[in-house]
Amino acid sequence: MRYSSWLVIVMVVFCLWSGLEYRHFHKQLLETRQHFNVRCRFQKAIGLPNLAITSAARYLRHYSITDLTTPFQDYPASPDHFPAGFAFVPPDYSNMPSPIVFGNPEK
Amino acid sequence: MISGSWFERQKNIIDYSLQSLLRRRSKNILILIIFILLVFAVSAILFITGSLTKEMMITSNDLPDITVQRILGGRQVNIPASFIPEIEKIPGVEAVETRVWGYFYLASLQANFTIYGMDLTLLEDGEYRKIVNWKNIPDQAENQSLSSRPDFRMIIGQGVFELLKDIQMEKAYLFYQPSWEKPIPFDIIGTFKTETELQSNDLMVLQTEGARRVLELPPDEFTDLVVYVPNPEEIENIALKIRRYFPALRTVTRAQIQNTYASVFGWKSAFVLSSLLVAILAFLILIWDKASGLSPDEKREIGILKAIGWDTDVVLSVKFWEGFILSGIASLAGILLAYAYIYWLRAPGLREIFIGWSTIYPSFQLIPDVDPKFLLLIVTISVVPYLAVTVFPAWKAAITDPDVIMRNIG
Repeated sequence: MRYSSWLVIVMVVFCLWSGLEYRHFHKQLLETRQHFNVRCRFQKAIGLPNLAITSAARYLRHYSITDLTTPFQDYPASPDHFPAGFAFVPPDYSNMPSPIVFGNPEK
Repeated sequence: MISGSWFERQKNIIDYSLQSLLRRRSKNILILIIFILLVFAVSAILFITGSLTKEMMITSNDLPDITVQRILGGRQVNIPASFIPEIEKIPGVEAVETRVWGYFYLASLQANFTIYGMDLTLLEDGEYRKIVNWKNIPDQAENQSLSSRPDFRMIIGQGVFELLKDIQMEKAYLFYQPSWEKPIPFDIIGTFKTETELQSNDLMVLQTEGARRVLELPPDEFTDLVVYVPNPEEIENIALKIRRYFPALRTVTRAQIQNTYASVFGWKSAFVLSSLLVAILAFLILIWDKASGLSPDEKREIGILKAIGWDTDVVLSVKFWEGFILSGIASLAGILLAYAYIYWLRAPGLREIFIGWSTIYPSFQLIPDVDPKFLLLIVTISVVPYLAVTVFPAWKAAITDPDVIMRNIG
């Protein structure tokens, strides 16, 4: 058999493989759509953010509403004690209360 | 060899390119393996971080509008009830709800549970009923026995359930801390459905009063507050007002949480950065090796081809097909392998980085996040530079006098 024919066979195998993965992708998306309502209801009932992928530390479990000094205790972006801290970006501190407020603002 | 239609001609050229690749079999297989590994690593990281972000984003619109925490000495502390009427007075605020939640560390299993207090009757009826697999209430009699201690009921996540099953506590669980006089028993009345596993896996939802006992929360104090604002345009303003009026409070709006979701596994995280840097460095070495020129053997081959009458463009076509076949197969195989690894095999090895030292973690069946733009980018940045560094040295050799190349004096 010619070498180019072998290449065609390899390409056909890749196409079949891609087809299988596309089928899986499509199936997963359909499943997600079916589960969407249940998950949204859950989120509405339990208002806590973030995914339960790690519960090693509270600032990794509830990363979005963690207090400001718990993670990265020594300085921002300091190497973390917990292995999963390696996968997380230091939180955004831009929502800190403005540090200096003079006087008592009127209500 | 180079006669016939364009298609036939290309077919012959491809035949020759494949022969040429196979002649330097060991070197090319090594390049192919490294190339596949690089594309695989980059795609796998993009897939897993994209999917986790998507998993978080998918329900983010149902998060509370504003979360209010009290900060004391840089740490979050309990918030007293006295803040509630003050915040309710702010125009535009529809409702202020209190939340009781925290963590419970079970030393014997080295597990951290998230404890959340709420009125469980809210989950028992209406649309929320569907998020729970109800258990332990097979008949009315048992139901009555449970309702006799309504403050000591809980619904748990699937991960907690599996863990408690191992210690034969899947029907009722005893909360205990050494500082307490006696343990507090809780009946488990249901588990959250597996569809919510990524959110509920480590969760124990207790009746509020029971949660207060377990978290040792004094009366009239709450973990944090949730503020609902019907007009989305006003959320930022009201959050600002809360911070201005009560400097001890910190607000986290839904938009801010969504921002953290979008960036949590972003470019700045050590995980993504280190993986990408290693991949880019390895790719540069590969490119450098190629770009530094052809081997004397390859040069001689080009010289011979030119001497027996091949045109420069045919020689370049041969080299183009060599590079294209190698880098194309590598990119395709790398991406397909990465998909299978993340979504079929559930990322063994990689998921441990995210799990860290947690004892309770979900099954990692993630929503596939395959962005065609990213795939195109991966293919472009892997195939095009490789083609360039394959064709360019060949072009340099092909335009030199064959005699000079064959005598190796060039």
